[in-house]
Amino acid sequence: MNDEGKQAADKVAGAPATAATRAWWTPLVGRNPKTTLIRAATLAVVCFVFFGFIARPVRVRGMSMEPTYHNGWVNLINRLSYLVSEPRRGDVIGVKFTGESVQLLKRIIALPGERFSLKRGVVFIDGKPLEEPYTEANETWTTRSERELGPSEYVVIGDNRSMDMELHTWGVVERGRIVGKAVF
Amino acid sequence: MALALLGFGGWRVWLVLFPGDEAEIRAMLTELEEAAAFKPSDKPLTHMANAGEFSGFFTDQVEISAKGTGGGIRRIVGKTSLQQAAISAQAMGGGFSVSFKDVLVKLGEEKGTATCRLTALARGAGEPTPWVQILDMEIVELDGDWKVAKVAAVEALERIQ
Repeated sequence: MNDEGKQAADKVAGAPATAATRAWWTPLVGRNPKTTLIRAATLAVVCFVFFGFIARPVRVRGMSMEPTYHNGWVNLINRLSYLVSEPRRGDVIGVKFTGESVQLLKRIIALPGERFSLKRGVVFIDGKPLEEPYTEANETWTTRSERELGPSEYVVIGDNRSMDMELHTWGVVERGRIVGKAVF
Repeated sequence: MALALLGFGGWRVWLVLFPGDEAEIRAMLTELEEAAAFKPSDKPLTHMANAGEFSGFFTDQVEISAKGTGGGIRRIVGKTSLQQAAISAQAMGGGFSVSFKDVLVKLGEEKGTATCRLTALARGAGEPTPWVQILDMEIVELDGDWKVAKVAAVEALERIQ
């Protein structure tokens, strides 16, 4: 067998890689850098679209959603969750401030058109007490009056009712400020 | 393609050389973030300098009302009061940093006026969670510089009484 024929035979038999293919960057970019680059670019685009437009990652700060969510936990807010359906009672949602960089994580308690009030820690919707298995009632939480919600208004409250009502950020939010539903 | 790139580059250079009012306001707010921050290791003389630089971003008759960590509204009127408040805050020790997120700028109909709404994230040294507040600012142009004339805290959610 001449030299040319021997080289061809080596390739077919999967002979040890040549010096060129064993270069220092081989473990980094693989044997076919072009394919690796396309894969990496595709992954980057998918991540950019997924985390930028579909599921926004958020880190929980504070204790207003204890014990359901703890300080430091990471979650995703699904921005597509309310494209075809409206927010429901009990959903944990992200509420934007002036934009989506900072969001409040709260639970929907009352829906548009409903009458909401709080008496000795118990939520009343249209005059009927609401069962809330995710929290413990705090008897100091009481509203002076009943509030009838507008057509696009929701009442959102955190699960941690052990804290003072005045120190807890809760209240009425417009539908337009709801970013989406928490995934976990 | 080359023409489009050239056009884009020219536009960017134009923006750098001749920034619009909104770009100037955003730049001022970025500088304000830096001026408002202080480190626990800063010396008393540095406190004075920091407070002087910080208050330079506000008008003489500035009005500030913001919700404190305890829930009450704190009101400061005038640049001198603001400077004193800044010195006191630094003297209490610890560090402080603030960042403005999602800044919405609206230029006023009258030239040299603007309003902006933003989310302020402030953090004191050792505090596990940041203080978050929506702020409305009234900004005016004085002698070519944009200054903050009024700062008001906005409730994140409408409270039911």
